[in-house]
Amino acid sequence: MNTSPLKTTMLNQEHRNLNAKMVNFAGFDMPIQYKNITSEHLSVRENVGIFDVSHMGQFEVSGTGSFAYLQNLIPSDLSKLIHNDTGLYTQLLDNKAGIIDDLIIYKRDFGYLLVVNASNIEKNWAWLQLQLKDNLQIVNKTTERSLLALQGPKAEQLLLDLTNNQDLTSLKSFGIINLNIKGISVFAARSGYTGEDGFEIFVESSNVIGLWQVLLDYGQKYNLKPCGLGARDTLRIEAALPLYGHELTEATTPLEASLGWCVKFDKGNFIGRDRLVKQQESGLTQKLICLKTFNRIIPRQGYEVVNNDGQNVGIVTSGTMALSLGYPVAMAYVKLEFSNPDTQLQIMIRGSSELAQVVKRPFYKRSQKK
Amino acid sequence: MLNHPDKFQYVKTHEYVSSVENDTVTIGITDFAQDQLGDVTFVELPKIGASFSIEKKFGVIESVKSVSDLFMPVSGEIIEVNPKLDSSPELVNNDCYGDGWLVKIKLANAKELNNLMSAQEYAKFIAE
Repeated sequence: MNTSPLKTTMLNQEHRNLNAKMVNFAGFDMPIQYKNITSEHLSVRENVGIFDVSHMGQFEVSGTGSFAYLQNLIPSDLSKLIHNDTGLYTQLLDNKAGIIDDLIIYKRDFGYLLVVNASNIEKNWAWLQLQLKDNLQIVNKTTERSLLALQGPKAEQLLLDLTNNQDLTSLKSFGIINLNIKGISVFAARSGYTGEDGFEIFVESSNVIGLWQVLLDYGQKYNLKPCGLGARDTLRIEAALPLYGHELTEATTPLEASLGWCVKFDKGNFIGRDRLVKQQESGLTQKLICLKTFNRIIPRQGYEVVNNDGQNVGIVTSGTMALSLGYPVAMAYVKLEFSNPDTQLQIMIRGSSELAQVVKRPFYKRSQKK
Repeated sequence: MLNHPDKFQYVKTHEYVSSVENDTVTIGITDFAQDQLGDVTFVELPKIGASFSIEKKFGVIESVKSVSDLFMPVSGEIIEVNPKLDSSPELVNNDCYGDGWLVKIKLANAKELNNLMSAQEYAKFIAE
């Protein structure tokens, strides 16, 4: 166990003032819930919710060597980012195409901004240093810049109220826009981790308490709720978005994790490409799939998946009660022959088998998309 | 503020026992327990007529965050299970001492009640 003192975000006292229940998440003292997970989850689906995600890592890569350096570290094609203030979701891969982390890369005027998982900040930093090339510079901005996620169908209207900036309405997925929110300079990306429309708002840490209070204040009109990591997890599972340490690990490749759409073989060489080519040629042995069950018993990480003959065919990586759908859902790695939608499987839960069915991803999909 | 009424008795596994009426008691989980669990999504309870000794597992309570076993605070036979929890498990969060009760039992050994914690003792126990 890591016994070093917990790290805090700038909003720690704000969370405590709101009577949040705090937990250790990746070494950070973070709110798991303020009131309860269900109401926070539904506020994001129906209105708007706000999350402190300042624990996420932010690295800035600059210099003439940046493009070639990053292009070699990811399976996605970084040349797709033609203009500044665009971004993409991708992964850092090791030599065996195992996933070191998943991240978003934004192209900005100075170079590239990388937003990585809190749990992997040190590991990523070490990997980026190990792969270091000439003519580039990497800076860790995690502490000096905070991050708030404003998520839900009313998120855009709330930002329009606060900024009057009509360019928000045409901002594309992973696009960035500079905003002035009641005197506070920020930049916001249309992104998130909930399956809803929304924004991730980057702000200097010295201004984040003010920004948090402005958003809570003006958000009242739309029933905005502060949301904790509990709702963040139930929302992302409903949207079938993978979480590092659950669906994504160094033992899994993007092809197995149903992230094949991120892998661009024709872009040229990149770390892990050989293994992915081999996997592509010989076929996958396991694949990440979505399962639903029919009672109210929740399949959780580590539960065994078996076929109708009781033979082990896989393992659950995440599960929850889908609070917008009313039944339990899970993601699991299963042997390829059991990965087709409608396949009937069983999940072993506390010694009994629970009927489960493979379903298409995601479990929850919002009606309109930006 | 968490609430642990004086009229009930408590055990370290966070179940409460109501006062005795005709040899029967009502059992549920405490306000502290429901608060720790968070959003309850499922309660698995035994069949009517089943008998359990003190400290034996009699069910499972599941929340979004976690799953916990339920333990008998006293020995007895299940004579009623809360029929509302199947469709409304959130009653355990909203009203753990009222509509969110779990089971009613016929006591097997009323002397066991002498060893349970008072509200005051339980409050002290959870503060530690």
